[in-house]
Amino acid sequence: MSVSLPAVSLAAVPGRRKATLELAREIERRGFAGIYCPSFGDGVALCEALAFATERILFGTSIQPIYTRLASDFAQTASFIHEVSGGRFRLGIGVSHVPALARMGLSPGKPLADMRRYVEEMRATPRVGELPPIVLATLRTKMIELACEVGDGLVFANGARSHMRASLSHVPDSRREDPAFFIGNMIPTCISDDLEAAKATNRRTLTGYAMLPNYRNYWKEAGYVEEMEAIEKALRGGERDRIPALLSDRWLADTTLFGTAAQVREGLEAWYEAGIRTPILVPSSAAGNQIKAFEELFETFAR
Amino acid sequence: MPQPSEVVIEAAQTGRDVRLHLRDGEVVVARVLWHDEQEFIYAAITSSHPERYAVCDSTGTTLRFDALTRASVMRSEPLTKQSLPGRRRP
Repeated sequence: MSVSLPAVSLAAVPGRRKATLELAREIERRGFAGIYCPSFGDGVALCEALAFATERILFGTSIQPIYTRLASDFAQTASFIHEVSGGRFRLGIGVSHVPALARMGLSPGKPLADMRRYVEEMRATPRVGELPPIVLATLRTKMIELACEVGDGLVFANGARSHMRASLSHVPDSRREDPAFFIGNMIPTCISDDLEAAKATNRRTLTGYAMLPNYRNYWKEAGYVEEMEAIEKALRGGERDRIPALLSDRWLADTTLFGTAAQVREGLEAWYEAGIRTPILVPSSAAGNQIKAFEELFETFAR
Repeated sequence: MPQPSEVVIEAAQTGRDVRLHLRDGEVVVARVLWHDEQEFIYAAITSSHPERYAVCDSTGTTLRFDALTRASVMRSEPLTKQSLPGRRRP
């Protein structure tokens, strides 16, 4: 079965930054659709390096929090990367999560109002040059609508495949028919013949998200009320270690990709059919670290 | 030698970052956000397994103390609100 290659998520940590750029060149050489960088390890710095380390591949942040930099300051950086990359940069921004902000002593405000103001301030910043497409991190309806109104795209993280058609029904035809409008989703992925090990790896990746009310509300909206209420009960009872077991197989299969190479390729095809133009696979390995995970990914999508 | 749990609690109380060695081989530098007697929540700063935090932002990871083999408080000064210039919200 031939399937369009997805984009991938890539993070660089101290001591491995040059190796990560080598990995990025290999991702480009193999024809993947893009490289998207989480804020972990400084995704903006990695994007700036990708502008020079790669030649053709699209890349972007997914996601850069808006609370850590002034919009006018960030507009200059974004425009810089946009210009030097020849327009290959996509600026993904989001309101982040309380724990990530708490680490820096920051308090989040009202997500929709803050995001609207931030994008408006970026676009109003004078003398910075052309801005890249601005992609908003979305989960629920109001942020999707805001992304369509003020942004150039939207990107989910851990979206539910069965609910994606319903979510994307809020994207107006003018946006949906525009091929430049970015519609992505970050999908935790574990490729392994050991199905149980792959599921355990993805459950570990997603447990932190299940502890956040905004994600639980989204997954309830997507039809996982029973699972999310069980998690809320466990949290109230101080039984956090029960959470992975409460994330059902049905939920896991709907929000992540796991299993053999063939199963992952088949699952990816289903994501395209659900309306996601740019699936961003976040590879983890049941048998090693990020490097091992990419080896498994390359083997799965070798042409 | 202090127990890992003692080190984590000290890091939480002083606001310093902590280097954690997990039984599964991961080494992570983190800020401790919360703890009780059995477990704690941290926000990762850097890790030997960056893919574990690469979906979007760190959401806070919960770990039981018995998942640690050792821990050490980082010597650098803690990051505080005062060290961030300018306004902190758009």
